[in-house]
Amino acid sequence: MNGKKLGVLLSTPPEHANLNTAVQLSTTALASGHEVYLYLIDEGTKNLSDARLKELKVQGLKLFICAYGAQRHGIEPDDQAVFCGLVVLSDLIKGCDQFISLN
Amino acid sequence: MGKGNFILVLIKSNPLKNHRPVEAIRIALGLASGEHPVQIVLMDQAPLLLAQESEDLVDGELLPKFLPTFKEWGQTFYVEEESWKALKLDKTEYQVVPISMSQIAKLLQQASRFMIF
Repeated sequence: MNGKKLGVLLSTPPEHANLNTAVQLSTTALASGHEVYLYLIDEGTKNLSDARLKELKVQGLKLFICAYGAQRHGIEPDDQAVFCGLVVLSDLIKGCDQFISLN
Repeated sequence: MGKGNFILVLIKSNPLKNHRPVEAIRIALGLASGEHPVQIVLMDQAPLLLAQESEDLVDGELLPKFLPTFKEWGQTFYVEEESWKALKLDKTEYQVVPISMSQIAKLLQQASRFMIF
């Protein structure tokens, strides 16, 4: 699927294994030339400060974070990610060739 | 079996112990407000989300912000039939359709995307 779009939803906190899955999937997909869109929601917003996500951003990861979830979990606004609402998640689901939900 | 154009949101976490079921309802509402038809399946203890009394649920106070819109839209909530019987939630103001596990499996097959909470 060269040059395709992969969407990933991550709703679990940093201590959950889903973070590693999201990082590894994103790393592999970016290295293969795909676009990757990662949306952090609910407790997944706590992953925003993870150093691996910052590194993936350098590699081209497009990072989004649920503004409502971030507020609920005390995550301060940060230019690492686009703080947005569920409309963006809806658009990602529609626009990506593959979409994976890690809950 | 062909793919449908809907997103399936399957909720199986226990709303008496975990905030995730209420969050899943919020997410489902957000997606349904866009261009996506959404089907919602409730399993295990999750049909308690549709109970008339929600104060015992984690974040249950948020449900009145989300559920009335589904009611207004006539959204169907599919509930796993054995869970529904066990919970004895005969009185609900929402449109509920009890279905079997095999029917839930078929819905999962038909969904274009699915999320499990």
